[in-house]
Amino acid sequence: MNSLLQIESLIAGPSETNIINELNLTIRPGEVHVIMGPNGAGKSTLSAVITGREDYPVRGGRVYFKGEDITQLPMEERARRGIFLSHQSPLAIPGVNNLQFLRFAVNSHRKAHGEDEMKPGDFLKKAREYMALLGLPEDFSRRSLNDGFSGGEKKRNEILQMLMLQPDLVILDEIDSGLDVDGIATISGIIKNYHNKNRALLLITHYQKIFETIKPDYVHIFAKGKIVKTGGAELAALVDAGGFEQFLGGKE
Amino acid sequence: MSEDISSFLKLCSEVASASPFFGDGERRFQKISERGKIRDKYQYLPSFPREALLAAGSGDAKNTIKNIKEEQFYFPDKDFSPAFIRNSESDPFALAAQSLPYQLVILDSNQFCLNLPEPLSRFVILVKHSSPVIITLHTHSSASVLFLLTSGSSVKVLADFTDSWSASFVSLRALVHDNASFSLETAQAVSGDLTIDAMAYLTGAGASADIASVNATAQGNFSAFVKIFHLADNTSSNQRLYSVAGRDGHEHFRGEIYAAKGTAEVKAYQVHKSLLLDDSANSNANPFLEIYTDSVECSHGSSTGFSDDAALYYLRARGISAEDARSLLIGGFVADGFFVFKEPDYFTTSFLETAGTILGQKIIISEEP
Repeated sequence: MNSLLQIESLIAGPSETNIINELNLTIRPGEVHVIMGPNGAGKSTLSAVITGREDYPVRGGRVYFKGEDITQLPMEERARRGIFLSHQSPLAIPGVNNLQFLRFAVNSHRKAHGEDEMKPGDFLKKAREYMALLGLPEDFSRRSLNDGFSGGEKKRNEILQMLMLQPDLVILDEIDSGLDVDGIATISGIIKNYHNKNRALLLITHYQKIFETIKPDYVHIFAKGKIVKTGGAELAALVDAGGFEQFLGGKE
Repeated sequence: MSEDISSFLKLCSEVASASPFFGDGERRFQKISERGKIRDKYQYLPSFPREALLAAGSGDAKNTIKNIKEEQFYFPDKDFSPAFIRNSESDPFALAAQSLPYQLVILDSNQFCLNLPEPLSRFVILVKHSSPVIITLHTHSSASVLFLLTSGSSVKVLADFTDSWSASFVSLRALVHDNASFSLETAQAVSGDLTIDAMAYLTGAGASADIASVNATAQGNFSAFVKIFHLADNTSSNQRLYSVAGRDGHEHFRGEIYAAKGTAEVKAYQVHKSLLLDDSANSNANPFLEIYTDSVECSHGSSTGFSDDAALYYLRARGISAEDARSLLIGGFVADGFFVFKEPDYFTTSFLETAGTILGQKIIISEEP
């Protein structure tokens, strides 16, 4: 099967620092990949590079999405092609209405695909349906983007955006942080239902709780900007039992 | 609109004499006006536009000065010299009582539109009406308006100086008596120089003042000088000023809160935010507190920054183009500024259009769909 995302010998990072160093990773449609690693290993940097942030320039290697080289593609174009990042700490933007922003995003996608804008009534109906599914309050439509949201609300809002934008590759950067146990169960259930044979998930996480619902096909141990070990769900159990040190080959 | 001047002066006297502040306040204000660079620059008094024009110092201002003859200024009294204005500035009562050349408006209706004539206007507005009064204020030139709010009165001033001449200087003063409330909402997009100098004197118990402003500045200086004097118990105030500057726009802000000795239950808040769109724009902010009482709840904060790259990335990561993301973010900043306005609809459409033009930047306010 053709890959959805293919990363070859990637070297990238902010400023002059190559946080990502000779990374190779292939994700096929339908797969669930998990990246685990110690703090500062570059996990969030990887998600920033995949989504195309210009302040994390690529200095070597290529990134392919659905078979096309997207290494130099602007981030909005990557998003429109189906790459979605659920941020670890979603940013609050006062003054920008939460749902109007989302409508803007949905219509940007539709425009890029040659479709008409979504009618406001249809958009609201769909958004409210998903909000109910996520347990988000009605006043969400009046509030500013992530402004004054609790940690759990911010994460739910990310998933609301995912549901509305229907991406093919979903990167979930610590989706389980900021959520209580019930929240994790709800969100992971929704993500599991969203996932299908055409869509892939890339989870960045420290915890195994979410694996109870979303079963990983591959677990990668990420350190020093590259993958140092790949295995199945059993690898996560090893991390839980013995930490990351066992995979790092001693201290630097 | 005319009423016997002597009865007006009597009313002014009653308002002013009810406060023991004025003697002390005069010294205080003069002391304040002598320190700080910006205040030094504008230390002459706003009622005299020629000096305002001179101080503005831009090429446009100098050209304007050449074209205005001294006779065009309104000097109905030979003794009405700039020196006199300086003294009267720190004493609103003196300003009101002695400046007979000011046009007097006594308001007993609840809607009033004040289109200040050119080139210079001075008004004293006495608000007697007990139900809220809305005053819309426009001027093309420099102007000076003193609002006298009698006990229990309430006035909401909506001021838009978008069409002001380059180098205009607008001086607004409010004397707010017992349980009266003064609100100033002002929004303008200006290329050229404009100064708004607003002060409220809360002289009676329970008095309040709210000053909210949203501005866009390009190719010139926008200055906002705001000072609220808390001179009585249980007084409250809010200052909230937002400014967007780009294309050689320079913003100057000086916001002061003064809480007099011996006052109790004072609440005073001040927020200033400025957004710079490019390297040619700058902001100079000076927030000040002068608190001489312990019975006070007070906060002030000022922030200046370029448009936020992290926010830009967040929007773009959802497929929104860089251009639209920027428009949304600036719109978000502006919407946050308008958030406290009770009459935002009065301003937003024309503000967005004019601000977009002078800044060369589309601004999108994202309202609830």
